[in-house]
Amino acid sequence: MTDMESRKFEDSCKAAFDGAEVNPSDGVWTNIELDLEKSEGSRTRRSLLFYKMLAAASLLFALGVAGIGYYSIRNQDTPYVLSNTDNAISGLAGDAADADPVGAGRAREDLQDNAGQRAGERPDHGLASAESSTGQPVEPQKGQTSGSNGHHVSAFALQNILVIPSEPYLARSPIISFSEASGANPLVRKLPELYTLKDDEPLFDEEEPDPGALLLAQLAQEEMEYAALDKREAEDRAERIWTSVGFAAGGFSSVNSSVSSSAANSLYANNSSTVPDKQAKASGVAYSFGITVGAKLSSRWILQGGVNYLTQSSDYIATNVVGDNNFGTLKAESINELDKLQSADYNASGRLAPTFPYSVNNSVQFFSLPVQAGYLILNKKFSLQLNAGVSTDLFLQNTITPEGGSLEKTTQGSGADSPYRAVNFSGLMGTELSYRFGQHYRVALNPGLRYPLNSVYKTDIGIQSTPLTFDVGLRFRYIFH
Amino acid sequence: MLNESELIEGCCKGNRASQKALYDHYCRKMLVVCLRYSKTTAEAEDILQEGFVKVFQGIKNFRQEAKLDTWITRIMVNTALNVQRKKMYLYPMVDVTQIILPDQELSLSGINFNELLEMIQALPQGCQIVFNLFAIEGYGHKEIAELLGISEGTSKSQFARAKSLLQAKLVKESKYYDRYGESKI
Repeated sequence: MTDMESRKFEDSCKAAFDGAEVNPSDGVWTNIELDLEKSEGSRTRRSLLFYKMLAAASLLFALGVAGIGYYSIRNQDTPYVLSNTDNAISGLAGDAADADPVGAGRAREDLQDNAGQRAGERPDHGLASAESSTGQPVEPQKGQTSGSNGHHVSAFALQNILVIPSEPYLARSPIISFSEASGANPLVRKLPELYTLKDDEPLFDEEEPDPGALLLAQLAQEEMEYAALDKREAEDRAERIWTSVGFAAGGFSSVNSSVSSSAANSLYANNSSTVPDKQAKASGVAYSFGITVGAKLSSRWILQGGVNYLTQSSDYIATNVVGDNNFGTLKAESINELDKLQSADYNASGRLAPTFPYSVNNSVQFFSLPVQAGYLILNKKFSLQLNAGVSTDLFLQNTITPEGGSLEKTTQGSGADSPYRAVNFSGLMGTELSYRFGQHYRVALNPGLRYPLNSVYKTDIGIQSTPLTFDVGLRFRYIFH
Repeated sequence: MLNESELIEGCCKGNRASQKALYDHYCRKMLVVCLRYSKTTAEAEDILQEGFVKVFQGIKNFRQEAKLDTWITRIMVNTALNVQRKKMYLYPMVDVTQIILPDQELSLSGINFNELLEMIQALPQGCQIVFNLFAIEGYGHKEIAELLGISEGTSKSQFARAKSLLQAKLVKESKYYDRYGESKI
C-alpha cells in the first residue's frame, strides 16, 4: 500500500466531516453566559483589588516619604555624635578590606587621602562611619588626630559625600558614606543640602544627653502623671460612701384615727371626755433632724440608713382638767392622764373637772432608725433618686403642754405609764433631688412620706392612730473618697 | 446581519449580542469537532462550552491572520486535548506491536458522517485522539508526539491501530450492506 493510497483514507475521513453540523442543546449558551459573567465579575474584583493595592502602595509610599522627610528634618535639629575621622576611615576601610582586599585597599587610600586633606582644612568634620550611619553614636578613641579631636557632627549633618567604590568593592558593599572628598574624584557627589550643617558649629557636647531620649522620658513622665491624675479624678467622681446631715419639716395627719367604742365607754365616754378622740385625730407639724450614712451597692442602687430625732406636735382642745385627790394640782386633760385615772382605779369622773375650753399641745418625740434602699434615676451632677424603706421608731416621750400658765406641763416617757408603744415601725417612701457642688459635697432636697405600720398607741388603750407624715428635708452630704 | 469583523469587534468589547451571534454561527460546526474528541454528546458540549468561553476571553488576541473558524477550531481541539490529556494520564498510550492492516484500502466516499463519528467515538481513547489529529486536523506525528507528550512511534502505532479498527468496522459494515443489497462503501 503506497503513501498516496494510504492518504486517501484520511482525506475521505476529512471530507466526511466537511460541512457537518450538530445542534448543541440550549443549555450550552446559558452556561457560557454564566461562565462569562463569572469571569467578568472576578476580573472586576481583580481590577478593584489592583486599584486598592495601588492606593495602599501610594499611601505607604507617601508615608515613607513623609517619614524620611521628617526624620531628616529632625536630624538637622538633633544631630548624632560622631567619631573622629581617622577611626571612621580605618573602621570603614577595614570593613571594606574584609569584604574585598583589593578594592578595599584602593578605597582605604582614597578615604585616607580625603580625610588627610580634611584634617588640615576642616578639622571639625568627621566621617560618617558604618555605625553612625545607622544612628548609633560612636565614641571617640585615643590617638585621634589633632585636627579632628573632640569635634562632633551629625552623620547627616556632615557635608556628606557619596563615594561609589571601585567595581570589586561595589559588588559587595554598594555605597560608602564619608566626609567630603576632593572634587577631582569622578565617583564623588554631594548629598542634598537637606543633610548638611554649617561648618564649625558643634551642636552639643558629648556629655549632653540625647535630647530625643530626654523628650521621650519627659513625655513618659507626663503620661504617668496624667494617668495618675485621671485615676484621681475618676476616684473623685465616684460616690461610693457618704454621710449626710439634715433636717426636715412637714406635717402629719391623723384623720383616719379611731377610738374603739368599748374603750370609749369604759374609759372615756363615761367621763364625758372627748379628748381621746380629739388628741388621736389631731393633725400637726413634724420636725426631724439626723445623720445618714449611704453606700452605693451598684451603679444605680444605693443603701442608706441613719439616726433621726423626730418630733410630732399637735394641738387639741380640752374642756376638762384632771386633778389629784383633793384637786391640789391640776393637769391638762390628755390620754396620758385619763389612762392613769383608769389604771389607778380611781373614781375617774370625780377627778375630772369641767372648765372653759383650752388648747393643749401634745409633742411626741421619737428616736428613728431609718433604713432605705434607693434607686438612682439620674446620676450626674444633678441626681434624682427614689427611696423606700422602713424605720424603727423608738418612742422617747410625749409632753402635754396646756396653753396658759395655770396648768402644769407634763412629760411622760416610755414605759408602762405611757399610752404610746415603745417601738413602732413605719414605712418610708420618698425622692431625693441632689446637686453636687464639689468633690466632696452634695446638697439634697428630699420630700418623703412616713406612715406607721401599726398604731402608735398601745393596743389596750383602744385607740388606733397612724399619723401620715409628709415632710421635706434638706440634707448636706459629704462624700468619702 | 453583522459581518465577521463586526462580530469580532463586538466580542472584543464584550458585547453579549455579538458573542451570541458568533456562537450561533459556529456552535454547530464546533460541536462536531468536539464530538470527534469525546465519547458522548454531553462530554462534547462541555468541551464546546469551555472552548467558547476561551474564544470570547481570548478574541482580543485574534489577529485575523488566519480564518476565524480555523482559530476557533484550534481552540476547541486544544480544549478537547486538555480534557483528554487528564484521562491519558490515567491510561497512557503505549506502542501497539501487532497491527494487521487490510490488503485493500477502503474508500469512505458516501458514508454518513454520523456513522463515521460513531466509529471514531468507539475507538480507544488514545487511538481516537491520534486519529483525529493526524487524519482530520492534519498534524504530523512529530507534532502529535509533542502535543501529547508521547513518542513519535507511539503516535504512529496508535494511528495505525485506529485505522485498522476503523477499516475492520468498515469491512464489517460493507459485508452487512452487501448481504442486504445496499452498499455504502
